Amino acid sequence: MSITTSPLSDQRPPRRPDFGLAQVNIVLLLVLFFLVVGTIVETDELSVDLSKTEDLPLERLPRPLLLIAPDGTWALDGQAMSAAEVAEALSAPAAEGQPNAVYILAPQDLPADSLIAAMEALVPTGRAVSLVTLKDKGAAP
Amino acid sequence: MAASIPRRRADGEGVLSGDLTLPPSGDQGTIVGAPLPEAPPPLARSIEPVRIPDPRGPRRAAFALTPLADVMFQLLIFFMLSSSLAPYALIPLGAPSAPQSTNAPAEASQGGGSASRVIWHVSAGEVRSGEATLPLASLRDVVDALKAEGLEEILLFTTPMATTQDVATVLEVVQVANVARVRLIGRPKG
Repeated sequence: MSITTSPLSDQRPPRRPDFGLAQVNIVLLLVLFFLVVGTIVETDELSVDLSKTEDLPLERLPRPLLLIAPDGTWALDGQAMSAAEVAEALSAPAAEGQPNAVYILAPQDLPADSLIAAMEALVPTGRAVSLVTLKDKGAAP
Repeated sequence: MAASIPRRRADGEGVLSGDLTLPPSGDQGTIVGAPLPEAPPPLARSIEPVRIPDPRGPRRAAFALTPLADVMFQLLIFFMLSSSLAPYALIPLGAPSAPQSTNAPAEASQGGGSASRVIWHVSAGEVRSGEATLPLASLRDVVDALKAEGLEEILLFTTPMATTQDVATVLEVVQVANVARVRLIGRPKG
């Protein structure tokens, strides 16, 4: 017994593959790439000329970020705060899924005394303090 | 003379003939025979179109990809503009304790020549250890040599000339050398 197709099947044009599907796939991959590789930072945080390191492993840059401007002012996650306000804000427990830490963005020409003063101000918060540096692969060892 | 003309059925399905008799000419005011029914409905309305089932089944509606592509592009532009691909590295500074830091110099000076502890003063581009002054570029070799001799702790004092970059350089070398402990000691205020 042979099955014959309906002659009506020839009347409908063959469906062409949609270009939009491939376009969405590529864009979705790019979105995932920037999600994984990128770190969301404020505009002011990008303006800081960070200290450079060569041998440390790459790390993500989660929040909270404490920006120490060259003029000595502080900004926690983009909001200008005093030292007392930063200590108070960081005294609250970290959000779920976030490490109990604080990351310092300090200019490389900032006096070391200011850096140590910032560390002392962060002591009561009980959070792990890390200094953010920029990995310089091109620098000579 | 009576003439017979075809007449449509009321349901429009077919044609009947012979059931209408027209009077002879001259007597046109009288219609003889069965009266005409009401105005029949048009043919197109009354006949149902013939539907042949499609052997391929009903055709599913195509998923609209244009809004999805628009949303994807907006997300892509957002992440491209807001994210930074700069390769960051972190130097753990820990949670310093001010009282211990202020007491550390006296303790270290009393301990003097302990081989497992060294006292460094970091300045602009160099580190002073006692009478010796070491450039930061050669610090890695020194730390490796001290590590081989059993170095366990470094007391790192900052001078007014020291910058964050100098401190970061020293801490990086120490961290890579896996020295057990580093104490970063600032200058007393005032």
